Amino acid sequence: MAKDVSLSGVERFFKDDEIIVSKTDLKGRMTYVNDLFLKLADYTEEECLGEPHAKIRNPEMPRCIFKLLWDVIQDGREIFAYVVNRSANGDHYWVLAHVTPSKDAQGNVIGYHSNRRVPDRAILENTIIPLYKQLLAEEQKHANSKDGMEASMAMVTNLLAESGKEYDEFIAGLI
Amino acid sequence: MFGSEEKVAISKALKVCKAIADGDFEARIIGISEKGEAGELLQTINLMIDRCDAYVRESQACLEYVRDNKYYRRILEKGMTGSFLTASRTINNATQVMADKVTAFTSVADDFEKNMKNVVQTVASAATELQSTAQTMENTAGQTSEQATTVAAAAEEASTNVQTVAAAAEELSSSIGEISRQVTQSNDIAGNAAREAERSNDQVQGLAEAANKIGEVVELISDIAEQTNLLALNATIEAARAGDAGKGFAVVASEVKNLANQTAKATEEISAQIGGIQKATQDAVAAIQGITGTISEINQISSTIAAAVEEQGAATQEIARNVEQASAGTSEVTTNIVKVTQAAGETGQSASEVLSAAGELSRQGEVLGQEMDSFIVELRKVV
Repeated sequence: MAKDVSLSGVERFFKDDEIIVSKTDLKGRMTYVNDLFLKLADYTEEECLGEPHAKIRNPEMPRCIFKLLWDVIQDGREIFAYVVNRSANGDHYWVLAHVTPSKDAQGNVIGYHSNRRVPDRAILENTIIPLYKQLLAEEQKHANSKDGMEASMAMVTNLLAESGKEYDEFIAGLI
Repeated sequence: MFGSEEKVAISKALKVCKAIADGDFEARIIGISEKGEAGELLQTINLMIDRCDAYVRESQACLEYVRDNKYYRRILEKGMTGSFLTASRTINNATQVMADKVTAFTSVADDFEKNMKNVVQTVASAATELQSTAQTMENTAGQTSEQATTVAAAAEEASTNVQTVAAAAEELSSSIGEISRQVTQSNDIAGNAAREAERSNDQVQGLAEAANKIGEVVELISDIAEQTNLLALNATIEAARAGDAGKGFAVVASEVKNLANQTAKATEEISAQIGGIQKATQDAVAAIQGITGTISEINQISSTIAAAVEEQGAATQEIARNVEQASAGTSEVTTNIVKVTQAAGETGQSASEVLSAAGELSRQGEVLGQEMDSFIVELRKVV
């Protein structure tokens, strides 16, 4: 899927007071997307609902970030992550994603919810884009994708260990 | 009034709005195909829910972090509008204020913990030191007491010794007095002997003079005997001239001549006797002079003895004075040692009390430390 579509190199933008919203079921299949989502991803609602969220995954995203994201939300916690998504035509757009588990009145996780805001451009340029390039390069060094992801995850773990912070506190300093 | 499309839209909107009104923020309107204001209404309802949902999720997450004593999680103000934005800022400000207070409180708690640990540590080491010092003091007091007892015994022995010395000095003194008396007596006797010798000398001189006078008389007699002999010779010659008439006379003259010769012989013997007497008196004079010299030597020796005895007497008095002082000294030592023993006893008692107090201080220090630790643990729970 993702590999079949080339990247246009064109970046799409949205406004500071706008939020991209999507909801998925427990397996990550989309159950709701707002109109801003559709506008940026360049899909119709019908094309998205029931499809995996990975539909808008950009090949330039390190896979270890998604691994981290799923590990955290499946543990019932929220996560913030900088993500670059890909539009249907190959354009891309950077978001600061806030993913949270949705719970019923009894506290059971019934799905996941993602609000995406406009990211801080300086943080993107100075920290996130260079970091993701490093992680991606590490992943691409390995023929086996699982080995690659473990290697890039180890880099993230080392980075956090050096900062002396858990991921949530680390990323809170980068928002 | 409404067309069928509007009716469907209202129905969709109503369903979702009811769910939202019940607090179900999962509800959204899916598959909006309506055009115009109906479509816009449904999209706006979704947008409204999305914003409410975002605000609820954000504020909840933020406050959950605050609940867990984490203050770095803020509500993202981007995407928030109007009252949502105001409320988000209010919560973020409140979180910041709490964070500042917690930081300040943590700093205060850190300082407090550090200071109190120092205090507890200081108290503990002071108590230990105090215990050690009190222990040493107690030991020292015990040793002092023992030594004082030894000193008291020694002082008593010294006192006895001093008394013995005093008695000996007294005996020595009286012995010196006796010697002095004996020497004086010896001097008197020597004086008497000297006087006797002088008198003997005078008597011997008298004897010598008498012997000399006898010698002179004997010489006179000897001269008379010689003249008598000459006269007898002359008479004999005259008698011979007279012949027979002178024959009788010649016999008398011969008789006189015999007598004169006998007298001469007797005086010779007396002279010899007188020489013997003179020799004897000279020997006596020499002997008396020897006696006088010896007595003089005795006198000199007696004087030396008297001087020595006098010195001994002075020395003995000095000894007696020193003994008296020594006696006073030992008496003072005895008095002081009693005080020392008493003071050592009191010191020992005090040290024992200090030791017990130090033990209590140490225990209290431990309790303080434990209380402090528990307090710090409870304090840390607060932040």
